[in-house]
Amino acid sequence: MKEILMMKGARKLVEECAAVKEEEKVVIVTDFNLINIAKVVASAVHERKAEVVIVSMAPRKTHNEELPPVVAAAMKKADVIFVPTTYSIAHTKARTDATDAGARVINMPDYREDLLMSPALVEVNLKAREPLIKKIAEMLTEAKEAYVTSPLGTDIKLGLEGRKGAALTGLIHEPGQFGSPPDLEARITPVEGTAEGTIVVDGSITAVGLLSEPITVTVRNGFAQEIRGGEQARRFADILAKANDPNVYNIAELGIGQNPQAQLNGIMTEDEGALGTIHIAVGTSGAFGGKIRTSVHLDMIIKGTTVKLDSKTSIKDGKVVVS
Amino acid sequence: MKEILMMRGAKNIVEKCASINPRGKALIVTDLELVSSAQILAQVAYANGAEVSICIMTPREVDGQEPPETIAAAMQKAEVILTPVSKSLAHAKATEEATAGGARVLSLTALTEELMASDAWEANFEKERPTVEKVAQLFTQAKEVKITSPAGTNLKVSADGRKGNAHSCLVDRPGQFSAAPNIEANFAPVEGTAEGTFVADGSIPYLGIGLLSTPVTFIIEKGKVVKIEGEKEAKKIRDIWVEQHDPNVYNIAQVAVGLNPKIKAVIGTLGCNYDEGAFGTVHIGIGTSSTLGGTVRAPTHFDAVMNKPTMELDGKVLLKDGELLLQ
Repeated sequence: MKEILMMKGARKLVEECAAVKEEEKVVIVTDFNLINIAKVVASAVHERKAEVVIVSMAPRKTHNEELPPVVAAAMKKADVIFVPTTYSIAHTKARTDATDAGARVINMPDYREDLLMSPALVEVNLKAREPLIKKIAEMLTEAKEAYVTSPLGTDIKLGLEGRKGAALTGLIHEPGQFGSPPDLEARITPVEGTAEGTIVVDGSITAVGLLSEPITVTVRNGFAQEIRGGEQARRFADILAKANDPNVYNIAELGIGQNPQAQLNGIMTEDEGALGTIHIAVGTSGAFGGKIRTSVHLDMIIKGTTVKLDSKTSIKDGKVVVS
Repeated sequence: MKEILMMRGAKNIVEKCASINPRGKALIVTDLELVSSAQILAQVAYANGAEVSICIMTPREVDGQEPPETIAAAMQKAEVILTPVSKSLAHAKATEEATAGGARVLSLTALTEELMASDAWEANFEKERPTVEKVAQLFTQAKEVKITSPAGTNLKVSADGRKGNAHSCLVDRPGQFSAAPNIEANFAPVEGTAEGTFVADGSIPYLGIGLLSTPVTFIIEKGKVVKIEGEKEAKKIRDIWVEQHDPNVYNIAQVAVGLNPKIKAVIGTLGCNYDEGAFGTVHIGIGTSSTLGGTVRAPTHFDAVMNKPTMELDGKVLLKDGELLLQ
């Protein structure tokens, strides 16, 4: 009976986020774990009088593992693709081929039934948020350096020169667009080798979850060098060590949450968007304008930060403050 | 709990009929009516170690209608395709193109829970294969085929130059097609040659018809149905044809002999693939023939089954009142 509660979120994704039109060819790519979510999204697509096809596969073993060729072939012919899957398909060839062919892609990695009922998705006013997200993305593009501080001790500089900011508005209306609502954010990939300082993570971390105590990450020459804290810090360090690739320590992203309805709860698609938080990611950056490719991309959510751009404007609690 | 009863049929379909081995890559194309059957097939294939993907669409409106383009594209890339769907894809262009590209296709139209739990899957398909291939070979060699039946069928068609198809429910070579569990041998008569009367007194397991309470009579001239007589079933077919508004829907597309020894008679409730396989029955396909070696493509293809047929190939009796006479 949970489907009833999930329908509002599904409609939001279909009607507002993707703006699915009548007769459009829609493919829902899912795996056997998330078929219930696929079902509800399919209901919303069918309701919209578009052509709906569900393509389900066995769950992949890691993020960004390639999809079966039959699934990739179906994606290439679609106008709109929703992807509720256990692991993210963001960096697969199947996804880039589909967006290159003009598909609008709504990525829904590790989506939970609760997310389809969450105010972060159901209640957020996407149109109202769009101008500010775009403005912050532009500010990130123009900035040469970001300086991030927080009351708990975050103090890190990130070089941004020549890098382009991106606005994830949750509105995926143009051919080839890609997004993961309710993750609304402005983001940028720092220049490799430039990040320097300390990050005190007090929100959540991908694959670790909500933090019960802060984790301190020391960054030198663009790479995380030391991870200190309690049991969760050890788990985080273990995940990175297991990848067995120095590139997983690369500082890959600075993201600024822009969804006022999002609450930190350990589901990253919601956490990354939480207004008042920022996140710094380690790992792969190849798909976002960076140069490092590796198997993981883990986001570290930090609360209460001030982001200063070129010692001029600041972003505090997600809002722009001109000093 | 019906899943338990479906398991043996599913195992036979996956392992015997479709030869999906542990390293195989299977695509299951289904619609919202038959997802539970698709799921059991996937379960068996996955447990065996195969890679399995499922495409689910909304049910098509008529048999032979094309699947969505996205699914057709997936089918193009597949190694082996199973199609538990409520409306047949056997004669769809997507299927023709997939087999042309080397995919093995096992057509599983109307594979309900009941059909999957039925005895039809207990047939020894390997053992029956030589018989089916023999009959198909006789069709290949035949020039003229004559069919009569106690109910009044009296039909002649030319098979000259046409290749018989052996559908033994086994697809183990690239590009091979078979429906299942209807073991059958068939051919597409030469266009324009069918002449006479065909009385369907068994079933028309399509268009929502099923078992026939009163016979449906098709009057055939120059390869096409020119008149259809009978009760409400005949009217239904006539109405659909008028609506389709395409001269090709009247084409006599297929002559086939059912050869599954585990299917003793048509019953009308287990779908087309059950009834068409009933041992010793003959069915006529009407509409698309390009999937069987003919040249006609129509918006639909459906079949009508007759009981106790007698069939002569160039004067030699192959079936006598439903009994197969093979030397």
